[in-house]
Amino acid sequence: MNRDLPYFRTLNTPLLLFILSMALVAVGIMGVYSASQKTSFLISHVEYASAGLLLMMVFYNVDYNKLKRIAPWLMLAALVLLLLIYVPGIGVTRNFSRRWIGIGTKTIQPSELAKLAMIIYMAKMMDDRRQYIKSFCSGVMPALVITGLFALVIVREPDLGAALVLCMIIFGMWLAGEMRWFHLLGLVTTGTVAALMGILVKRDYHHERSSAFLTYVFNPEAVDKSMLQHQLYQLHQSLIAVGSGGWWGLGLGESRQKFSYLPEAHTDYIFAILSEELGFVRMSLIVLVYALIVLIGWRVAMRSTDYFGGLLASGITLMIFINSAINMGVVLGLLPAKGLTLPFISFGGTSLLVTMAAMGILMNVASTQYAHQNHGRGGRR
Amino acid sequence: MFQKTYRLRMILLVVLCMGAYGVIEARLYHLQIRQNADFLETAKDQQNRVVVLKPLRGDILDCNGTPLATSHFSDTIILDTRKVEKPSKRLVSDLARILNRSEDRIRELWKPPRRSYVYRKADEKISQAIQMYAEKQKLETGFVELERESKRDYPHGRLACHIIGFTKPDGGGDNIGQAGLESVYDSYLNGSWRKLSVPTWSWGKHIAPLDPEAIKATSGNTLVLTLNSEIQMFAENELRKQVNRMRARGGTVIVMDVPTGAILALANCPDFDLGDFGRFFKEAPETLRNRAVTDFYEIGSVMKIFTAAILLDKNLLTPNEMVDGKGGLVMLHGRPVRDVHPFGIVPYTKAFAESSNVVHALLSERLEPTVYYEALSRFGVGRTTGIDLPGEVRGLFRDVNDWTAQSRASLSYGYEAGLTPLQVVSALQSIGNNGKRMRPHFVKEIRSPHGEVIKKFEPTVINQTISPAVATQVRELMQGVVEGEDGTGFLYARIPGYSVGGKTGTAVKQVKRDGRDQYFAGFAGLIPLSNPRIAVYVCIDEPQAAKYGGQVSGPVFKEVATNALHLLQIPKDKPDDPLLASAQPAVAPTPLAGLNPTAPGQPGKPLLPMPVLPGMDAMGSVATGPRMPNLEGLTWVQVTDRLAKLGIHPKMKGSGVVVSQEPPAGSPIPDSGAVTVVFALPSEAARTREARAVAATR
Repeated sequence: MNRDLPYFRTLNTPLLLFILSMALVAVGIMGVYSASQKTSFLISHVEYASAGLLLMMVFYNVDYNKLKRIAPWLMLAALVLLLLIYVPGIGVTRNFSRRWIGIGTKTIQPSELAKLAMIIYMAKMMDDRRQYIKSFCSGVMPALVITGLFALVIVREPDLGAALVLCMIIFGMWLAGEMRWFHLLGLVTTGTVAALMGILVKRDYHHERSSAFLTYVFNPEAVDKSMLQHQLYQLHQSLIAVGSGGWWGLGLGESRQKFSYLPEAHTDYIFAILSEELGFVRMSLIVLVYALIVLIGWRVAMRSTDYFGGLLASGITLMIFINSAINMGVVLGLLPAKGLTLPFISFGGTSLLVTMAAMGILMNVASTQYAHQNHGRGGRR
Repeated sequence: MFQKTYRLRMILLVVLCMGAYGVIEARLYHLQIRQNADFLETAKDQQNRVVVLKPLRGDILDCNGTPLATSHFSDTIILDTRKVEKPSKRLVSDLARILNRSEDRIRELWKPPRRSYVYRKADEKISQAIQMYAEKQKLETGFVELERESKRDYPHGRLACHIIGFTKPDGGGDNIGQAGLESVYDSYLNGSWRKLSVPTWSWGKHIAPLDPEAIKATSGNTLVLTLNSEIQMFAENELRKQVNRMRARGGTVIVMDVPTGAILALANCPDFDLGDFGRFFKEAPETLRNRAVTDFYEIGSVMKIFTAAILLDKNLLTPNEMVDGKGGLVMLHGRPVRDVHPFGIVPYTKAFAESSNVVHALLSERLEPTVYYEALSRFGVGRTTGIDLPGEVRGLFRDVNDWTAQSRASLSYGYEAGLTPLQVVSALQSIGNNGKRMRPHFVKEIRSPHGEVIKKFEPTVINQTISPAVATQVRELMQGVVEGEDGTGFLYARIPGYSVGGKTGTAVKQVKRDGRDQYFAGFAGLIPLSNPRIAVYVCIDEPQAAKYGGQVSGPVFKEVATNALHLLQIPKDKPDDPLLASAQPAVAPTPLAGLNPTAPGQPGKPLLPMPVLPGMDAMGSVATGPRMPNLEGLTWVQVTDRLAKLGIHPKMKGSGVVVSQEPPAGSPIPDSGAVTVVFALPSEAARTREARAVAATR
């Protein structure tokens, strides 16, 4: 601890991460209230944010190395929760998908929990088997199996988006964790082929939406009114919201698309409502905050003194990056609709709690480096 | 970490992430800035809906702001039976009960076209009941539809019915003027249909309530009349009474403001109820006619005013010239002219006061036909006055080339020319106004829904009939008719405190009924003579109980004029004549219904001797003056009627029924006559128009 400079006066990495996260949470509280237009949502969101803050502080103050010990249990718990979805009476179905389990009046989304659990477990697993990482059978296979298991369970909900995000995070960790390029490329090729096959075999609702999206991207002239009212309705409304913003937006609370034109305005599409209200300049600032968090995250990963910490930081950074980028991409019509929340901002208790807990872990990883650099002492206790 | 490739991979991942954010940023720029205008356009198209605002027809107010015609929104109930395939027995009976229709009528709704107007312009109770029923029974949406329409209200029933006219419905309610001022000023009153682009939820509900100002802006303009409804109502009542008493066919009273030509009251009998004009239209269409402008009559001796005026103006006569009455009979161009009161050689003033036909017939020979014709035309004979009422006729006035040898003589005492009562009062007004004939009019100004004056009607001069000096001479002649002891109006038309000039007129009509001659009895008067303020013409058609103008129309003139002088606060121009006051109590002493001198529950207080004579005050009685009656719950018309009998002309505020009065019931009437009566709408209708208008667009 630096006794000459009081802790709070120094703009150290954990503090910076904390400030940036809290800024986004504040934007989220404001956005949720504006988009939902309901005090009940505001209260609920603030409750989750407070709980998330608590969780963040707890993980920040716990040495991340201790996570190694609980990693298997976390993973197991996540798996159990994921399987609980399939138990009638506990699983909650919304919009034709069973993605939630109900506890009293609240619901939690196990796939969100599974992401963090998998990050921690994967980091531990790779740390344990570091010497085999270059080998396919001893290194790649176990990791692949456990990831595949999780992905399969999540896909069955069905929540293709969450499964994909999970795979991408884990893949990113493998990339950061020095898996062979050859193996990685092979996995990507296999995965892509499998996904394409799946899409071709199952011509379902997803397919219809995806093909409409592809039409929109590659052949915009072919998009007719009926498509805008059905398959592309949400995207169309989202783009109208974003496009209405202009430089400075319509003003806080002045969104018009939130009057039930844009579905899921306070959750998955909150970025669109914020764009409409705040405008390009302010939204750029928000994107910049995300970019800064991710940049700092990678810096933490790069400077990490140990393999486990580095992987942990990479995973968390990837989680925040992938969630935010895909969500924004969907809102802006760059990617097909995926039902993903915007970390820190969207309404959705589990997502907020998990994101903030993950930030706590990242801050803890960062704080050890901070202590190392300044004093050569061990991590903060 | 600690291998060489680690840093490389990290940099790769960082570049990947930052690249992704870069793409997002670029896309954001593209959508928000480059395509902003396009998206705003699309957004506007889908986020707003067009609301059609139906207009609320403007009010018609009298000169004191009392509403004579007003509008409010009401619901028309439509049932779309296509939404409910087979009606249950209960549904039918419930609907029949709520809508006050027979069950058969309800059942018929399930025959084509299956979407029908069941109840037009329902009052709020019914429309709310049906809505609540539909909600409670969870009826299919769209089964019960409500359509807002404006409904025209005439709060005072018969009052000024011929002037106001009525409306018929268009798509938005009662908004097409059909008669009277409603039709003449239709384009000002009917407001405008507006389309308003309103932000809505995706399913169409308005995000915010409609701007009341926008709703107001659709409303029609307000017509402010010169008509004084208190004078009007009094005139109507007096006329109706006299017509009934005389068992006459009808009659007209017109009170005109002399300096401006503004109509203060115009009453016709028979009249009709504006609230129920459909029935009158079917059963007694003649009651709808505004006789004052559509019917013309030979007016008899009233014409002598104008004959005299023309003779004096052409310097063919002086007021004190001696004229020969020929003993009451003269043969002129082979036709006898007779007088009721024969006399010999007398001053002209006397011949005028006693209305000698012989004298006027002989005097008319002094006028060249073309001169006479032209001069009468200047008085408006044979010409429309240009009043703002529909259906005004020119009357009958033969071209001078078609005149016979007797025409001048006949015209001189009021035959061979048909004048509408309005033409008479207009000509009379010019005498009072020193020869300036003003255009008769009803509308003082037109106000926008926001209350600012958008059009003001300034008095306009039609022409100069005679010189001012001659006008004064004519007025003096007319004074002789009422105030000279031999005058034909002496017994009937004097008003204490005011100098009155008048002329009686009794015309024998061309028609006979049951073998008896029929008469047209009129009285024209100007008051106060020193500086005439009001011109009044009263005519009663075919009276049976009496026939002479003074006798039949004189009393009506007196009552209406007295009331008008009081209401207009026209100062007295001569001392009261105590003899006159005591000899003729203003009103017959009838017991007054509703007069309640002591409040109930005040034991020991003796009941005052009743009834009291309203004339007592004038006679100087102080001990037991009339007491204030209890007016609570009475309507505007009833109050004015009742208090007028007591000689009180109260200050009236608001409209509806009486909620308070000052002084209270049972206390003596103050000498100043300062009585205030406050009206308010019954609780049901207490809502303001704005509130209704806002609710109308939900």
